[in-house]
Amino acid sequence: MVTFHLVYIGLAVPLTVWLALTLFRNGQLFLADVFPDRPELARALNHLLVTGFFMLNLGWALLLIREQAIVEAGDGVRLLANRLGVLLLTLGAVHFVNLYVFERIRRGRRVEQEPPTPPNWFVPQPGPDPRMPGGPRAPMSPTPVSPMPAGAVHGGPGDQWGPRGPASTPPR
Amino acid sequence: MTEASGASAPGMPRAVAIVHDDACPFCVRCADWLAAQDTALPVELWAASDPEARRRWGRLPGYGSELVVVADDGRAWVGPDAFLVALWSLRRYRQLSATLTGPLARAMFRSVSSNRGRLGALLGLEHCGEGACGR
Repeated sequence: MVTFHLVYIGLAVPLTVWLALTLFRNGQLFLADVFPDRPELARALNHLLVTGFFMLNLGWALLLIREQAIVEAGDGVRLLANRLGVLLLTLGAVHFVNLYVFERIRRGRRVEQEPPTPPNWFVPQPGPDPRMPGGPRAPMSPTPVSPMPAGAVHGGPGDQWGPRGPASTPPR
Repeated sequence: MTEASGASAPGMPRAVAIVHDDACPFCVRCADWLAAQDTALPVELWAASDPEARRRWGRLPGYGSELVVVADDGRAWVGPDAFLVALWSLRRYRQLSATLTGPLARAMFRSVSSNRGRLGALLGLEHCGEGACGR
């Protein structure tokens, strides 16, 4: 019985540590990308996440140790496989939750740098265009949507934005 | 990802114009709500029937039937993407816009857009408030 527990612990603890280290190493890169301006924040966040990972998984791994009567050798192997399987499944689930958290953090940061979704079309801006008084609804800003040289923009016919034809405005 | 830091050129629009359907009371109400919000960048609200807006952006596919958002650099979003960018332009909802990019949220935006007449009726908005409608 004791041997069984020792084997289990001998497998479970290194497994958890290895996973946590993997998470730590790769999460570091990831978070450094998310917070390029604040490396110490990235490091702190990574540490907190890994600490949580450790607590959850070591706690769970230890909880899986329970009294169980082992009659023959086959029972022991089966029980060991069972326990390790449960542990691995949990670790996997926690790992994916962690990835999701990273991704959420990253997306939340990125949205401060660009719109959340790529544009569907690309409109060449009409020429210099002072706002018509009384025309449009009262603008919320004094700055008009600033014009760009007509044609210059639409020239990029790589058109990652989609088919080009309909999106163009006739030149004045 | 790596280019994000130096990307003021493709990254941030400096202003956006939001073109809504002014023949729909619900949309006008939403536009009024939007106008009252704290924006993160200069936002202009245009009615789709506005001749000037039509001249500028009228040839965008979906113009008039879908919400349209155009950035000052010419990028244009139509439909669910336009909802996202409109939310994104509001300081308070910018983070939310990052989470609503999934297919489910898009389907929701699409259904809001295609049921806008019914939505307005449901909310008792038969008439446009303040005479802003249909102008």
